[in-house]
Amino acid sequence: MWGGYYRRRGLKKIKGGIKLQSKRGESARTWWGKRWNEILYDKIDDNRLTRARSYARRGQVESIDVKKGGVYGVVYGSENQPYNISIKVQKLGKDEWKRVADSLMARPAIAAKMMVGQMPEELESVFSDVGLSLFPDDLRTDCNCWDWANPCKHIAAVYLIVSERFDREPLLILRVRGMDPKDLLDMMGMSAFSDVKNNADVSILTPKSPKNGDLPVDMESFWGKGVHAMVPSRPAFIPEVSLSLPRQLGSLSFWRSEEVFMDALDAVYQKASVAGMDMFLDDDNDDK
Amino acid sequence: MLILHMAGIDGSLILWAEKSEGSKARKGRHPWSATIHELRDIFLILRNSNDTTATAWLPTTDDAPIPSSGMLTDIRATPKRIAPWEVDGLRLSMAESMVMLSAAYDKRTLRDGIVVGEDMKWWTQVLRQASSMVARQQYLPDAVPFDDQKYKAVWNPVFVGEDAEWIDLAAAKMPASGRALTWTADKDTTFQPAVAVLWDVISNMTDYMVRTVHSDSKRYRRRRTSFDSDHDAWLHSLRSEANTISGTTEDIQALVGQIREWQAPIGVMASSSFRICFRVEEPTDHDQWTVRYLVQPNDDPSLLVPADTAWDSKDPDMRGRILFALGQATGICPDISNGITKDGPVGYTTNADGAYQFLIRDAEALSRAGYGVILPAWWTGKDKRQRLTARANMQRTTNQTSGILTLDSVLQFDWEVALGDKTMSIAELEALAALKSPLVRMRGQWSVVSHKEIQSAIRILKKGPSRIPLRDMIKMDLGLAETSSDLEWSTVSSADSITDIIERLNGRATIQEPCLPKHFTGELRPYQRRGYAWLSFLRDLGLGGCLADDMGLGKTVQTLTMIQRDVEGGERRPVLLVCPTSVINNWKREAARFTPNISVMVHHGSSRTKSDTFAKAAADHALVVTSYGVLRRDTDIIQDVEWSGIVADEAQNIKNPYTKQSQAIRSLQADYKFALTGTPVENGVADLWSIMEFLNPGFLGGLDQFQRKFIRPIQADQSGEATNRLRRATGPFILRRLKTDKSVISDLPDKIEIKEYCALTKEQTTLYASVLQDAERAILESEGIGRKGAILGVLTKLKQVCNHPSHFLRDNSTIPKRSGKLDRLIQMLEEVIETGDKALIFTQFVEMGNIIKHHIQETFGREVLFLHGGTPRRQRDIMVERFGNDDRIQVFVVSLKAGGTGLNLTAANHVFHFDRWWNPAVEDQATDRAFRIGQTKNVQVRKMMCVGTLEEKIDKMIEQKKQIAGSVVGTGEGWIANMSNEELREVLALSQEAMV
Repeated sequence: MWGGYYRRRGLKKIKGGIKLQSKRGESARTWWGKRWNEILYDKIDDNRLTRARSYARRGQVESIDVKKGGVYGVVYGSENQPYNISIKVQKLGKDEWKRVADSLMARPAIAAKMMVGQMPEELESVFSDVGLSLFPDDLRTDCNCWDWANPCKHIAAVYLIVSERFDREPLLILRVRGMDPKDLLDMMGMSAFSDVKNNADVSILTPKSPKNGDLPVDMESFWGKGVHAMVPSRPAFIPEVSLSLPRQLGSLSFWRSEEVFMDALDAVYQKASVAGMDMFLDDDNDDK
Repeated sequence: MLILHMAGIDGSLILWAEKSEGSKARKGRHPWSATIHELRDIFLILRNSNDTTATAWLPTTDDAPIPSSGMLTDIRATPKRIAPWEVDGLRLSMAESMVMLSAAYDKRTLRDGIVVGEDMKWWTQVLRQASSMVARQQYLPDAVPFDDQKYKAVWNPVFVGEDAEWIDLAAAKMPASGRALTWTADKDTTFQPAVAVLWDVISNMTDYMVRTVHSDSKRYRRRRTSFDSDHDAWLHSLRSEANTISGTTEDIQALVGQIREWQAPIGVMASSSFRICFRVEEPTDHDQWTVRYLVQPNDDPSLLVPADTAWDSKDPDMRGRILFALGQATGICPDISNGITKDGPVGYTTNADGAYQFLIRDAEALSRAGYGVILPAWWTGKDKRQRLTARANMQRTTNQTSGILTLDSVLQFDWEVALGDKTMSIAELEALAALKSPLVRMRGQWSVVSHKEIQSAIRILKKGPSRIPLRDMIKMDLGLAETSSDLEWSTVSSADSITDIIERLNGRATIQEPCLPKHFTGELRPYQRRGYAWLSFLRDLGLGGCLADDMGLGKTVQTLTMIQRDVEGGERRPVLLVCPTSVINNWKREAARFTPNISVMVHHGSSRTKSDTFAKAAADHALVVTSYGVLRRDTDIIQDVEWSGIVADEAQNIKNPYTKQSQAIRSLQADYKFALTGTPVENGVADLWSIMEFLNPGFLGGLDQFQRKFIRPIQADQSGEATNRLRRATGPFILRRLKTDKSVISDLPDKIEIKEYCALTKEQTTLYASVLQDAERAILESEGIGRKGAILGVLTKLKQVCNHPSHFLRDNSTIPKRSGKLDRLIQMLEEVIETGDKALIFTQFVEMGNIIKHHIQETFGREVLFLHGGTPRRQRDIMVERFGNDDRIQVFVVSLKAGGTGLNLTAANHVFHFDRWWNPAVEDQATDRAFRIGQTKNVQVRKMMCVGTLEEKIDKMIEQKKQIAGSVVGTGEGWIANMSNEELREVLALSQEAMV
């Protein structure tokens, strides 16, 4: 599918480059990801866009840094030297953010959704209500490649990957616009709840436990105190509404698989409910 | 004996065991831990499990670990320190762990001699909790690191709300032995806290249960490493055998980051100082329902503050936390975001349909997610719920001309339907049906009426007057009829004799006591008279009933009185009584005592009447007694007899509906059927079905139907609703009185003395005969002191034979099923143990005491204390103290010459004299260990003796002499030695009936 151009020159192979997860066509899935991409599509021709997607999917992008007011990236083409690109976005000023915060305070239902990682479409109107815009009107992009066109395919490759990250972390858009979501909540007079300790080594679901220690020497606590040690389990039942825990957390907005996340879970949860119930009732048919 | 233990290491369970026989072991090795071979022999599935060697850190004296239970040792030392001991163990897979734990659930032994240790018992509830959480979907997909830089996809349980309370409590109560195993014996070893060990195991259980629902799909076994996205990789490893997530480290770490963020709200919720409650408020006008938001502080749950009030509080965190919690709730019920206004979160309004959706669907999901939900009382049923009910308006003109009312009498009645107490016409019902929402307001009171209910009410009314047999009427009244399944049912009471019957069945009206039969020679206590009246009432109706009085309250005598009344009423057909072999003689003796007019035929043993003559022989008697075993073998010929009634004694023998004896007894036809049992049948719901199906076939529907309707709902949610339905349905057929009931206790003497007649086994009979043979010459040939010695020797040997062949032979041979007396003791102890009572068992012989102690321990997996002359004083004091204060010690075996004068053992309310001193004064003194000042309960004293042996005969002689002399006969057994040879021969000889 690649043109002869690549065969002649050959792209430099990059190990562990950041890859666009989407396999073909439009890469953004969410309304805000698409909205962000549209800004790019207005400025780039189809040929460059197609190449940019190829770059992004092959992993030519080595690194991306999302900062307040801009995105910086390193992209390899066919040369040994990578290109440095930047996408600068107009930041909102402190006063402007204050207006956004006030606007948001007047519509706490939107704030509530944002706090649990949802990206309500009404968010755009929160900005427009006070004469501002969530997405930037313009971009100032730069790349040190030879291409005369701006944005070039290197810039676009980074841009597309960023949009995919927005899919996963919608509130990152606020950061690009100059405001950490956490600080915005502070401005609204709310404590920060997006400030979650993100420790890859321990599941959040693991209960807190004290440190290691000694074993008791006395016989009763060591070997157990008979019926007094029994804590009857909570009653079991198959819930009327399936999947309430995952639903409470909301759909994974960053979802990339062809399978719909909730549907995939639902199939498992429903079957497991029955299995758990059978085990609880000790109804194992193999037993008989 | 093996005591099984389980400990968690790295999320797996290790099974190891202590055994009773210690052996010399090399240094550091646990001297009495079971070998791999012994462990594998416990269960077939353990044949293939991984064996391992681990270090168990155990309470230790100077040089040895201390056994976990008194069952393994007589004297337990005081621990000085925790020290490492090497043990063999099986490292169980999750599948193996789950099989072991569900087999051990609620059991003290897996089988005789395989005891479930306290720690293992504790783990059984962990499995149940895991299954409960899986059923309730209280878990989430997750990813956790393992090895180096690798991650695996897992299903992890989520502990919030009540589950969080559970894990805290369960961890606090975890026996330390459950976490006392390590792989190395390092001196500096520290031990993981209980909650960590518990979490590692329960999360593995959860993961296993959820993961394996797909184990039959191809995808489950397929190894894949290439995926379109990291999410595909994650999904795959959540649903396949291999749980490692494939992909680049960077991708996976990003994925893990997303998962952590996705789950973060759970952590935030858990740390919040309050929770959000949703309150459903009825409309004040029009059709406007409100779901109100409230804030409920954790430290004062009685306080409910409107969320918009809390919104304006000074707490800087408040707004954020409220919004955060509500934001999450919108994931479950999207309408909730409508109630968050610029003035703060108030609540949302909706119509009746929306309110119904919230009540029926969202409320449960929200409450499971940790939110509070406050629903109207008429919905939750706390208020007497207004429901559609159907009533049968019985006409007085029923066909009563024949005078006799049987279950088949056909009754005529009109249907009437009411909502609450308002009678509804068809037009009114149709108006209800036209409403869109099932929420209906009647006279200012809200109620829920489903379309299904309305439709079936309309159908019933359109049907007009109906005619059905009394049997179906009773079933309807008990909530068992199929026809009215959608509607609640209630009869209209009138002075009619039919409603009278129904009222009495339901216990709403008292049953009149019939006169005592003329030839009944005993006396009935007041509660026994009521039992007799109840049995007679059911018998006259042709219904079956289960008399489930506590042991010792006299089920036998109540039953015999009822049979005697029948006989005097002209009944010529025999009653069949089926009981365990060990109580056949007891029935015979009791019948002879209370109802001597009833001719009893025992159908048992190899010489029993064979097929052709059985029916005829049975017809010549009023009562035929047989055992469950014989019933099983002779079903055919027993079926051929025309029985007036069938009585199943110790009915727990037919609680498993699949056994042959259950099927056999259900196949018998008779006018009425009764079941007698002292173990509470209502505890096991499935057991109840089997017994009820015998008593009143078809009343509870088939087993499948019964399972759907009752068993599953009851075992699952313990909501009480299904339990109440079952109680209502079966209540009329079960009469259970406890010896602690107020109405019973006042009728009971403080001390009840019961003679327990047992049979010899075949082996015992043979031994008895051979002892006699050897003895005869020795006695005849000796004189004076020599003769006396010879006689006393024979007495002792015969008593040993009656106790147990192994006692006589002193050969350490196997114990179970060789002694009728010991079997009977075990049977009675089952009831004692099940009801939480305590028992003293006296024997003259230390050897027998040992046999009894070990046999009870092996059977019930409970520690039994044994006090004898050789017990050191200090140990004796500890035993007495433990028997008094430790719930787990229920049986105390005592073998002391003086019956242990001075001991205070008033914790016991059962006394068994396993063998006899033949000296009432000595026996009374022993009995008085329990029956003395400080005893607050009634004491049941049982003197056990083998029928047809010297035991019974000497007992009889003592009774006669007591009556004549009014006092105690000499002391000891000396007087027996002074008998003439003829007298002796008479006393020692074995009568025919000894072996049934």
